[in-house]
Amino acid sequence: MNRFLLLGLGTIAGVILGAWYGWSVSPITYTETSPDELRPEFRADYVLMVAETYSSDRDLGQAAVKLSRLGQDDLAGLVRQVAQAYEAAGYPQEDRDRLNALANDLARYSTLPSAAP
Amino acid sequence: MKKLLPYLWTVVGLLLGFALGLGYAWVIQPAKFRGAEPTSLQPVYRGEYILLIASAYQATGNLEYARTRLALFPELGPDTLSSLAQQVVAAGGPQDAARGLARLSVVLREQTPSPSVELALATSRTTPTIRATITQESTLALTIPFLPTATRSPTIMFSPTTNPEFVLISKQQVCNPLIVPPLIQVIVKTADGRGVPGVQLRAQWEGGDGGFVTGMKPELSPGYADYTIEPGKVYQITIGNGLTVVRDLTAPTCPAATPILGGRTPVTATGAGGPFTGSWRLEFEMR
Repeated sequence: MNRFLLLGLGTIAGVILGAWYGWSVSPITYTETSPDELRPEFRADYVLMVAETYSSDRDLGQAAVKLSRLGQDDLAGLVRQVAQAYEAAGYPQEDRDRLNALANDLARYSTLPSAAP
Repeated sequence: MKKLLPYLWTVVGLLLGFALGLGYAWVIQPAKFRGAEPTSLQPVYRGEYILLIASAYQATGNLEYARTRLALFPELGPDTLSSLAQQVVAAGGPQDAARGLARLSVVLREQTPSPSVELALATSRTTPTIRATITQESTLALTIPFLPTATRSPTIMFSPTTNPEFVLISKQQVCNPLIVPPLIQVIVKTADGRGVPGVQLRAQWEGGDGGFVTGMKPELSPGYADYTIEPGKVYQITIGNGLTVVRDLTAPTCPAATPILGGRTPVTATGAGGPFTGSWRLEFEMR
């Protein structure tokens, strides 16, 4: 009886240790990810980089292609969302201006009348 | 032995429990995925991310942001950035990104303490000390993505600040037997003598052409670039937006080399002491 008690106690302690190790010390890591899986702060920075590049090259098509990597259909909404988050976080005005400019151009582009089927 | 037996059961329990706990934490209920970091992206997206950092820097000149972003990729030192810029140019990738990478390479090198390299431009290809400064990071290869172009601009758009004028201020033959193979060396400077990285150049000859960009060898000068030429071919160099063109450049034939390097005559392509093929050096001023 005594040995079963010791075995049980050891097992319980082992489970706790194993779970702690698996969650905290050496958690599962993810590789070969895609941009839509980026952490929110990196997604936001990715959007800002696209807006910064767009402010120089004015290539809306390239900007849209890059933004589409983030897996969201409403690209203008995505950029506007980041602009709002940056405004709330107190980021520089020029960053927000670039984001808003891109969002506006994307919105204008996406609402152009399409060719009749 | 009998005294140790109870502890043995505890150890067995611990091991068994540890395996169960690990299985639970890794397989059944892994730690919540809070999102990926740029370093864990697939190679093609990783390359795209790095080019985006360079393009954004080229667009804004915001070094603070660029540094913060590049800090995510510890392997991207100045040498690697320079190497990547070359890869992008060679592969016909986005010019803005190539310029941004070259500029970042120069800026970061200026801010990174490194052994000083006193090197004459004329011996750039053969001086062993320069090779010693190239670290293993420069061997990193990048998967350069090429985004499908949804809207293609018929002409490249230049803002006033990116449409400078380049004036040829010096064109001279370089008869140095240590430069093998022969080169067209280009140096682009501002009026106050500072080298300008990221200037796009094009070499054209009958039946071919190729691009190169200043800043790829920042250890020589931020405004330095060179292009390997073949004897007998006539080259034309175009700089910047194409308004400045230097025509009719053929590799010159230089007289026999005089003994240098401690009295020894350097071995040239045509043998020791014989006539050899020289290079050209062009200097432009950006206005």
